[in-house]
Amino acid sequence: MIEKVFIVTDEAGVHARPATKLVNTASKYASDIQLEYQGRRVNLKSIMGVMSLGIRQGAEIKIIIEGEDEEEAMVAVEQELKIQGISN
Amino acid sequence: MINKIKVKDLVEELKLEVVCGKEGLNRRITSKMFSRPGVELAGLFDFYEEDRIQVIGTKEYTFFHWLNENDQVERIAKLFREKTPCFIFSNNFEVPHVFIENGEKTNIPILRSPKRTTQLINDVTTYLAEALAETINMHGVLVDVHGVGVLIRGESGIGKSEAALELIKRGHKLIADDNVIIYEKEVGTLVGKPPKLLEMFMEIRGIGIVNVMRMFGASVYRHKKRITLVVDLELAEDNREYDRLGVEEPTIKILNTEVPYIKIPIRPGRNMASLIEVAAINRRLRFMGFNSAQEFIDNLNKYIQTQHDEDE
Repeated sequence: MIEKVFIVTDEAGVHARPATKLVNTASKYASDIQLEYQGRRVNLKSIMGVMSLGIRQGAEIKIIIEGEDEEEAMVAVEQELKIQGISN
Repeated sequence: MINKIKVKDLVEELKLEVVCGKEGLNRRITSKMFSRPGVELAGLFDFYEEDRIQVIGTKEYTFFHWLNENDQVERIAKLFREKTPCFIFSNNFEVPHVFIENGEKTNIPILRSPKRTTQLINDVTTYLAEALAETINMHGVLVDVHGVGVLIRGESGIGKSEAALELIKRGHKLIADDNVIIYEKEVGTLVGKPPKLLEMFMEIRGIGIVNVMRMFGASVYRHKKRITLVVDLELAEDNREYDRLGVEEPTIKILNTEVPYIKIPIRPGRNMASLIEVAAINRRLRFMGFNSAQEFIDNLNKYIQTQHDEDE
């Protein structure tokens, strides 16, 4: 299992469009991928789950990945967070 | 995760009147319990539970008026502490001036309800127990099928939302899609509800996000429901064994509660909604004391026994 903490830098927080991209990226991997925010954990492959959190700018989010392709998945998720401007 | 609630949440939920201390409506409520400060009115403050909601019922109210003015002023002032969330008067009692004075000075809200004391206390404790209960998030869909709260779980993309959609089209109710907040009202009673942002919405792959209430009407939506059955959907594997009789009733533990639990294998062509519907009705029958599988097995045993007797 690997974990990594990110700070949300996007002014609009994690809004709908980047959330969708992030979920699509996560869905490509077999590993179990979770997102934690303010003590609540959701499946990063679930768009409704991610959006239900209403993550704002400046928030600390944690990505938790467990499974065979966890290393690749973390690299991809981290890259997607950057591409979408959610976090640097 | 423990939720945080404020006095204004209590005011909204129980429809209380704010008599004074509006500035203090953001005060936090941290204790699930309430206090009736009768002993304190009598002058004994050693046991004062200052961090609890203070309920002034008929007894306290009547006794207050027995006190002389000096005692009233001195003792009431002592009730308003830094941690005290608020005061609630029952029976629409006229709030005495000395309470209002202290409420305004300390910004501790004084609230009022037309309800009788017992009813008011009942409402307060029920609300606090739910609002302050520990919650967990679960990936899944919660539907009400013939009154049975069914939590459908399974991997992403296995078809939970699609199964729920079919159930809704059959007239069952959606509570939460994709993400269910679960709390224990008390041990043995699990309740599920959607995160605030997702209320009434669900995502269907290929179509997008839909508002089920606008689409199918108000009767297909419920904002919370007790969970009495957990159904796990999983891709059918040939070498895995599934329960063929269904005599036993396996359970799964969520928080501290054991909930009846079944696994349904998915194969192309199996109608998930029908299966879940049947599972829910079966659960209901069991709750009412009927066990179809046991009934069948009893019949089988009886039949074997008669065959055996005839042979002798």
